[in-house]
Amino acid sequence: MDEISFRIFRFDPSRDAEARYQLYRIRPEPGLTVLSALVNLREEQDGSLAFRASCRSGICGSDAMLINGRARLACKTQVAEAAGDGTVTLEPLRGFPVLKDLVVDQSDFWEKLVRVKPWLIPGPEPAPERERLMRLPAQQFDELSRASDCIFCACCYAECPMEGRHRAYLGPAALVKAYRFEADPRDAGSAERRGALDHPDGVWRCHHVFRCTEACPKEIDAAWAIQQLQRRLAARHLRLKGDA
Amino acid sequence: MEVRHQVVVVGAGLAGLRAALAAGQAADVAVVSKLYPVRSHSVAAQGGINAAIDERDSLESHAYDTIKGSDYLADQDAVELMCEDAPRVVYEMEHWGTLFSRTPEGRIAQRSFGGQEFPRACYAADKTGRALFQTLFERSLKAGVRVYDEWVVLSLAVADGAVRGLVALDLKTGELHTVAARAVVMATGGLGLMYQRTTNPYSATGDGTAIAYRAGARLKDMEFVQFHPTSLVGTNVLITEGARGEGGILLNARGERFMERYAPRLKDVAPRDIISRAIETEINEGRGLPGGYVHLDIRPLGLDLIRHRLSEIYDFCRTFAGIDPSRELIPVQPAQHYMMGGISTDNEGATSLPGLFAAGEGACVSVHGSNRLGANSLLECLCFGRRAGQAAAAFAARAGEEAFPAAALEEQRERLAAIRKRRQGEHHGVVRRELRGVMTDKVGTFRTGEDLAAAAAELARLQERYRSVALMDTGAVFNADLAAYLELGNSLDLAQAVVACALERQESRGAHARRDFPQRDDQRWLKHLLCRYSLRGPVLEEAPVRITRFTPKERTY
Ligand SMILES: Cc1cc2nc3c(=O)[nH]c(=O)nc-3n(C[C@H](O)[C@H](O)[C@H](O)COP(=O)(O)OP(=O)(O)OC[C@H]3O[C@@H](n4cnc5c(N)ncnc54)[C@H](O)[C@@H]3O)c2cc1C
Ligand code: FES
Repeated sequence: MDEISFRIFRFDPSRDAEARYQLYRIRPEPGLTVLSALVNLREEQDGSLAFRASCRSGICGSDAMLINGRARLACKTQVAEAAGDGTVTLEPLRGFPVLKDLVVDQSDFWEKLVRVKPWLIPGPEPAPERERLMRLPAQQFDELSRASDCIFCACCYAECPMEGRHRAYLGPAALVKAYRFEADPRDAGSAERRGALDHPDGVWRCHHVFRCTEACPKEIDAAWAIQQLQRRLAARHLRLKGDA
Repeated sequence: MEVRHQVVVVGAGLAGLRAALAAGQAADVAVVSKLYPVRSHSVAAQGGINAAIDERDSLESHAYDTIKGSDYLADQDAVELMCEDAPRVVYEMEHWGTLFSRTPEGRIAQRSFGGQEFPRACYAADKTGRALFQTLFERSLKAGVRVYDEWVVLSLAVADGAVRGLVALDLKTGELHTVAARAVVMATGGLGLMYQRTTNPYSATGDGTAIAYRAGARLKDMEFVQFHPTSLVGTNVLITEGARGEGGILLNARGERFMERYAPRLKDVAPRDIISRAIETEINEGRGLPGGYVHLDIRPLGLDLIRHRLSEIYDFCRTFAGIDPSRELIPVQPAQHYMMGGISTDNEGATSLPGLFAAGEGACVSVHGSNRLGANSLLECLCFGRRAGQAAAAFAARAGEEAFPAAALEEQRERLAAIRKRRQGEHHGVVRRELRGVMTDKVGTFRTGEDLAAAAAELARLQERYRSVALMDTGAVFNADLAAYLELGNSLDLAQAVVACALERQESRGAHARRDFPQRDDQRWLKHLLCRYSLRGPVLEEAPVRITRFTPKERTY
């Protein structure tokens, strides 16, 4: 393949007054991922380039960034595919404060996650000595298993239009996590999670634009999961009304 | 910043978080991690975690398979302890919420793994590490475990022969911080990045192991590096052994199922050392594919099984190799995968340095001996992580509150100032690339005295060059160039330990195969090599293997 350009967002708050874009030229080998290209760039051309990475196989969630404007994992994106017209533009994830170059501060993301109490809250009955039996129809288990695939890369936050407008919105990843427990037959924590979920900045902020679902590198149907939570809560509201 | 905790755990992978949760029961504990916890490599583990939970299986059989797999170098009391603890570990994780795959009866599902006589690897599709890790992470959020993330630990502070805490570099600001502690648990994982071909992540540079080594702790079993038979050609990401556990088979260029010749009984699910050598032999004898690989065939498993139980593999093949494994053969080759050796510990995680404990892949209790069985590492992390955490908390309760030695911070400050000041010199990236090349070429699956001696000489030269390399980036915020430079120092020290031990051990055992000494020699070598740091290079010592009831015999599969 011919030489192509990487156009990379650069900003170091300790040195730069404002952000700029820097151009690098690379000659990609077949099969080169955007992440490998970045690693080569850092080792061979510019050691000051900052980005996060670890597993290089789409499992640790470190290297989410905007690739030609879309939130993706650099390790799962082929240069050949992204290069299109010969230029790959890399920018930090939208909606997060930039620490340096492609590295963003995800603190807000983690705080939102904790608000849904993302842990198993079992019912009052004592746990058996061995495992709890779990007999879910295949499809239901599948849905649960998918929802537990989240790698916390935050691509969904960068793509969600609601996140852009309402900073307090819990956002797709936190809600998917909540769904993962709400849909787990071993969990009895609905009442404890309700405060966070049944709230204008909880499930109701989602207007089903499905950008999160499209963006998820693990192919989690986040919008669908949020819909399930909305249904559960709506059903409860109707029940309560009926009782009153 | 100066902080103080009774116990500090370095590393937020499976071993580190488990240690922190255990220590937190009895002490004030904090975790320091260079990655945000969920980025730890434990999340990449695919295949499973072993536990004899089926009525037809037994603890004894699990222990025997592990010890035989270790080529009799594992310490048998430690293995028995781990195998006994395994069902408790798995049930505990299930109770805490891990989403294991299930049998139709609703029990935890198990699959076959290499070198085992019973299908005892409990699994969550092919994302077992992620499932287990998420559960631990969730527990740590619930318990409010304090984590200092993106702090790279640089050194241990030692005074009067005991550990007093550590010094760390805050990546976000470039500042140095000190963490005073009565006990430290090292749980920093693997060291695979010293190899060109590895399934390990960029972060696997053996930091904690190297730091403990330089601080005076002994390393153990460093000659035993595991090469996984099936990494995807190109990026070398892992194709789990579970793919063969589910029925996948290996084929050479002629389409022959060659494992029938090397391990007539277990064939494609023989232990890793045996399969990796078989693949290399096929390739060396001209029966590999051009470029040096063989094929893994999982087509017979069918799309449905592949998409459900091997979903990550399905994704990897499409993303990284552009192939559909339900219709095409997967090109695979051996790659460095796991480090059997590490900081030498007893069964409670205690090291030779008072106040220092260790667990996980960076430690060596010796439950794996010279070859780890698949699905025993996650188990080791959870079993010995917990024990190390408990022991560290108990140690902290007995130890007094001591002052943090200021010299420890000063030393690191000077080291960083010196490298930041250096304006000229080759970039450390060049040294790293050469290191990875040397290790892959000369310290791989098959070894010879000649190659190892050449590697030792080459490493000494690389160490020399390392002393005068320079950075490209001298900034403060998120200086990955500086972090990589520091990591390289760790890789180099550990590579020297690996080569020194490999040169010393004149026999073939488990993952250590010497062409010049092709036989196992129990008379002379049924023992561990310990390794102590000195400025002149590794100093070797010996330690006996603890044998309880399994008498060493020939290993056939
Ligand atoms: C691809 C792959 C698949 C695997 N599959 C299986 C399997 O199916 N079954 C099985 O049993 N085993 C498997 N293994 C092995 C197993 O996953 C690992 O051995 C195990 O997860 C290691 O856990 P750990 O806690 O020791 O380290 P890790 O999970 O690697 O964590 C290391 C931690 O140390 C921290 N750290 C490192 N250096 C520093 C520093 N300088 N300062 C501060 N913090 C630091 C990191 O931030 C990280 O949090 C697999 C390994 C790989 C590579
Ligand atoms: S580097 Fe881990 S997800 Fe890309």
